[in-house]
Amino acid sequence: MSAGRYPEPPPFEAGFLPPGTLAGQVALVTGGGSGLGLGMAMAFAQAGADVAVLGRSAEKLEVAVGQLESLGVRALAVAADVRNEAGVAPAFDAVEATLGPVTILANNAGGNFPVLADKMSANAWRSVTRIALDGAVLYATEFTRRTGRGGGAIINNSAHYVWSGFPADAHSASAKAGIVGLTKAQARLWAAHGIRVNCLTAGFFPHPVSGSGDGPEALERLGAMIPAGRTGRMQEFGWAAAFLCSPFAAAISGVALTIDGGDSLRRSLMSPAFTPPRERESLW
Amino acid sequence: MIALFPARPFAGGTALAVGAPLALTADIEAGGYAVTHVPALEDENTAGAALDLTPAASILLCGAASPADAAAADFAAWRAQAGPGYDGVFFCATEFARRRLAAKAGGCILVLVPAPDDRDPAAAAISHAVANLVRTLAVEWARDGIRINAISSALATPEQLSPLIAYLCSPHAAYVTGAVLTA
Repeated sequence: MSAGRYPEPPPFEAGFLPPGTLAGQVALVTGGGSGLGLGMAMAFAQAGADVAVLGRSAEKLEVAVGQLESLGVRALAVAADVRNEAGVAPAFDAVEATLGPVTILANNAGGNFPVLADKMSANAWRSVTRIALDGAVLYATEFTRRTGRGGGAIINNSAHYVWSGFPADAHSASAKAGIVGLTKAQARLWAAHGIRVNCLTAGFFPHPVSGSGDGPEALERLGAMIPAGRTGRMQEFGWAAAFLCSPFAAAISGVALTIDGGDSLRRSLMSPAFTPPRERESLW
Repeated sequence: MIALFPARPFAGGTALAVGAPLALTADIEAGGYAVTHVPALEDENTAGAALDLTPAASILLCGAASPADAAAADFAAWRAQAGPGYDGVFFCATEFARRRLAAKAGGCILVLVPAPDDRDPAAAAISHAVANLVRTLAVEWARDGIRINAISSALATPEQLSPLIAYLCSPHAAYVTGAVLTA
């Protein structure tokens, strides 16, 4: 029997950072139309930042823009694919023209699906790694080029499975771990520019478009396997990003903050018999 | 710079800080917690006595070990650091957890770990030891509602770390447990 109860966060509406903490800032969130990206975008907006959400689906982006504007900030949809190098400068131009120079960059765009490495096509490999890692490199370097020595904050979205391998996930397991290295090295490299770089290595934050589902049954099943006894709530993820991009974290750079309710730390010395990934009923 | 929680949402709460610079708890205090500071300690008895001072504390902050003296690489120098920096953390954390478990209440522990400096054997050993202690205790106590996280003391000054500590100890960071922040 448990003595206490694993805590819940306040509801999103309760807010977190003092009102206006990010007022005057302009955030660009890649993959910001849904899921974790929208979670970050909402938290930035709640703290007063104007927010541009970038993604491939104009429809999703428009819905997100409506939600962001309802928080009383200006918002902009930017249709782009982060893998497209030629699209990076125009994306920043579009945000600058409407909202002003970007001061917060959230490299969130990502994709993932289970596949054995030896069965993975070159396209499958590229589809995941070029969004997560190449996209982050492209947007971070353009951000820094434009920011000059004016400073700014970058938050990268990694994943909690970077602390181990992740069988049947060679593309994302490696790319998201690359994000951690990128974060730490860029933090050091760009400290003199006043640019801070941090990343979040998140566990399960179910949302309407997540692969693991967000229905009551899925939530219960996922929660039961996590030390915390529940999945993450989107506002917890968004607030972590907003905190790390805020002046309250002015001296914090090069950090990878794991926010997973202890999921990446589950371990027993004894485990069920090992089943090679290729023999598993379900790869993950 | 205003405090992270200027509206004092935690008024009435109490916290214990062990071997921590006063400036580290500025934002926790501004958020409404009454904070008791005690010096670093290194055994189960002194840990228990410190917790007896603040029986209702729902937050425990364990400060970093004393600054490393890499030149003094003898056993006494090692013990001088490992006592408060490693043993002390274990005894404080477990004493705190026993009391919270008995009270059927959750809590939050924040540990400052030495910088993982490979040129300083004592600091490097303690840094890694405490980091994995934190990761271990996080899982042992998660279902009891006790969170535990660690911050590398090399990240920033105590003044600069104060908001981060207040954030990690707040319900807004409820899903963060077992995290070890280093840069």
